[in-house]
Amino acid sequence: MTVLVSATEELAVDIPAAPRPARRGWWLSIGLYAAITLTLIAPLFVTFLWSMVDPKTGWFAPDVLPRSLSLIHWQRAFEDRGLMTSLFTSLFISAVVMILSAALALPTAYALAKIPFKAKRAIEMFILAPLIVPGLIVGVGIGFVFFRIGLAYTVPGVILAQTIGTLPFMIRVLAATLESIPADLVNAARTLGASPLRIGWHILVPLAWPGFIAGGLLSFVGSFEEFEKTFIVGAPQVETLTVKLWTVLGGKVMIFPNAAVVTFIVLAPTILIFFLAERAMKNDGALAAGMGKL
Amino acid sequence: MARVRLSALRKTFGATVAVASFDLDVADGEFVALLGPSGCGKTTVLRMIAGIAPPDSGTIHFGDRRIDSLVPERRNVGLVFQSYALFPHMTLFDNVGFGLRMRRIPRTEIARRVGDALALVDLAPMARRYPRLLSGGQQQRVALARALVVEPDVLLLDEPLSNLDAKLREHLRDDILALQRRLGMTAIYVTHDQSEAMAIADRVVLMDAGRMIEAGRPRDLYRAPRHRFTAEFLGHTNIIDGKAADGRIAFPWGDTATVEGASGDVVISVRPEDIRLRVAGDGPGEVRDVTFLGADVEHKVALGGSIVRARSSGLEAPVLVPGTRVAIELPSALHILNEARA
Amino acid sequence: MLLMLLAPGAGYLLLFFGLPLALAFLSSLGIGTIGADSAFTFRHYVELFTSSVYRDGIAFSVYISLAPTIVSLAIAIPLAVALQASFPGKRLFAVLYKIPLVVPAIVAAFVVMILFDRGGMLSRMLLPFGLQLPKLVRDDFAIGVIIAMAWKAVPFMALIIAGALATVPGDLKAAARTLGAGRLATFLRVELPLALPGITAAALLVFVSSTGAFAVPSLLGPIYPRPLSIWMYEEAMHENNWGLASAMGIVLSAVACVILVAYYRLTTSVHRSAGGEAR
Repeated sequence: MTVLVSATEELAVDIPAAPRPARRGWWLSIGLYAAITLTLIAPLFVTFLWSMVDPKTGWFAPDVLPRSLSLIHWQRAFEDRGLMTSLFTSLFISAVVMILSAALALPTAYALAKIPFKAKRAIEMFILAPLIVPGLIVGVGIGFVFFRIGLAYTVPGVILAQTIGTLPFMIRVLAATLESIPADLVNAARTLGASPLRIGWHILVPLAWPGFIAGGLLSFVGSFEEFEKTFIVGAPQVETLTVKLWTVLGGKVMIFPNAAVVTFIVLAPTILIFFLAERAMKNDGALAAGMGKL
Repeated sequence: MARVRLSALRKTFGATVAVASFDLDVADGEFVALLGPSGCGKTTVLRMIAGIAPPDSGTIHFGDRRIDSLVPERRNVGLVFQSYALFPHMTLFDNVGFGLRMRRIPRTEIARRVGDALALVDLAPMARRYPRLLSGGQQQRVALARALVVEPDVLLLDEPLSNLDAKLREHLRDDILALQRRLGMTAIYVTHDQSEAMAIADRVVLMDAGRMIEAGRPRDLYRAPRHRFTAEFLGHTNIIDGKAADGRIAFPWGDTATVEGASGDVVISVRPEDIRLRVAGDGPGEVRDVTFLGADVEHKVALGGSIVRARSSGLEAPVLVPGTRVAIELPSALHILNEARA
Repeated sequence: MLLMLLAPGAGYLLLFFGLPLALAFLSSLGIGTIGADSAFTFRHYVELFTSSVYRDGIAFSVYISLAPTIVSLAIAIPLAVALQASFPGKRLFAVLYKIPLVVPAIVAAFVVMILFDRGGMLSRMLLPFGLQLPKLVRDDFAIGVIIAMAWKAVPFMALIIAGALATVPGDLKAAARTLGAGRLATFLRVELPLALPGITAAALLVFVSSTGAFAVPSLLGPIYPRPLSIWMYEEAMHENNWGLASAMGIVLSAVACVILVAYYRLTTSVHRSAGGEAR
């Protein structure tokens, strides 16, 4: 009798129980990693294979894999004076852009984050604008000016042009980081007798440091992978890696293995530094702010 | 409306045991308060009943219906949150009507029932407004209407008054109780405020560290707690050690009292308002401190190596100067806790 | 003091961003143009809007901005939802999915060529099954362009939408569930409406950045029509017709500015729309 009663009780519950959250997490994980493998990792792997194609056998349809592999394209790339010059030009420009952006951004970000003033929203919008107006338009606009004053086709010209893009990013990342520091911390330090300078050094710098580092690294990446502005202001005299890649791809004869090698010379530092920046950043908020999220 | 039975409920978060093994039987139409300090597991119990936190083990029944593996939307509960949790993008009408729309009730009936529910909480004229414009108390009344309008089997309230200021809290507390009585709703109310729990509930369930410590009518729990934790958590109390033999308890300061059946080491709990002070030059106690609390005056008296608190109220409440020697009058019926001092 | 703090950042942008745009505006009206007589004229705008080549260009620009926006929205919203859950390996995935953010558009275009072009990886893999890919690179529907641009846009959108979804309080979702809404109904009626400003913002930003796309449509797009951005480059760099190029730039910037203002309004009106008497 008792058994019967409890059996009907069980029947009343006969609605499929939700899968255990842990199990669902595994399925989600498998699905997402499968998706990223298919859309990111596999394409990059195929690209990598292209960089290893043996020029003697080539890689023609219908072969899904190259007949033989060779390091010859990589070897040639590192012996290619022009390409190595591009690499060092890119690294140099990006380093200067990063430092310039950080130096210019810091005071402005501080003002936007910590000082209330009237036209703040208007200035914020103005600083956001270069992130929203496409790079090509900015490039043609600045190119127009630089052609007249002789800054076109020069490294300083490219640095100045790229900074138009990285500076708003840096300002917004830094402002978001500084804004997240509670005003009461500064007030507390003030009541404890700290001067503004010491507050900056002991309170703001340690707390804003991760955002500062992440913003700087991402500015570096932003400059390293920038194409449109550099192309218009600098090419063909100043050839960064992305401009080089363009000339390899956009020319009359397109040599896939060469393009693949350049692709990885661009991507390797970019992705490495991006990982470092992500590690430094505590959450996505500052990154989203930097990319234009209000 | 239904009887709610929880049996051997258990919930862990990683290595932390939030609820150890929890049994509770709430009668149809009963108002039960889950009371305890923060982190005692009371909210977890409520969330398990609502279906937001699935229990690791144990069963939950509403009447004869076992519901512990059901998703929240199939349980038919009404849940009221500390944060109100009104949908900011919906008018009050749409907020209250949300549960009815989910149940695919015809429009005209929704309109009627939402109107009734808003009238029940005196907010009918505000139906077209958005929650943001309302005061906290008004928002919580909307949340209450929203939970009640679906005629849930059980009304669950999670610290519903904690975000409100003191006066409003009492007012809304009485409103909730009146509504529950009127609708005959089974209600489970989570709070950390002991006076709120005692004021509102038919039965108070006191919890600590994921377990039920003691449950009973508010008066019984307050007057005759079995456990020291209960005595100390509900209101204020003095915990006094004594030695008993043949029904006589001897206190450290020399007084004695008669309690039938007492023997060995005993711990008694005496409420401060039950202690009378009498000025006596040769008394065993000495007033250390006097605090004026408005309605009450509290004296801290050094007595036999410990401090005893005594409260009196009213116009004739004595206000003694520190240093005054006093004698202590304990109530004739002393309450012995049934556990040794921890 | 305030001005001194603002001067480096805002001043720099005023000088190198505001000023060139102002000059471009003047030059689009025939004033101060290189290689042409300086005289006020609307002829560049007239040419831009009457020439069938440029009108096709404008239409094509809209097409290759709108299509990637829609495609990436369709992918980014479910991705953002998935990112709300906890799952094994989430920390790594949260970094991996953002990689396309920093991959240059040219690289994306190159990878699309490798995979989707005739004779590319995909068609090779389909060959044994007797299947043939339609033309996906330099095709009339700019499918390759859309794939490359959406691939770049998905993480950006997912980042912003995930942020918006994360701000929806857990209590609201729990409230909807206990009131009888299932997972899907809770998402559609509570989470989505509350995250809508973020979603709209993400879509607007992706749309705008796509209007100025240059490398991807150059490498993957059809020979004709070409987007306005490419015409602008051609006019400026090859034809040396800065007036017309500026007019195109101004039209594209105007679109960006309109969207910027819409975006601004959107973020400030969220609170207002949730207040006030309805209807």
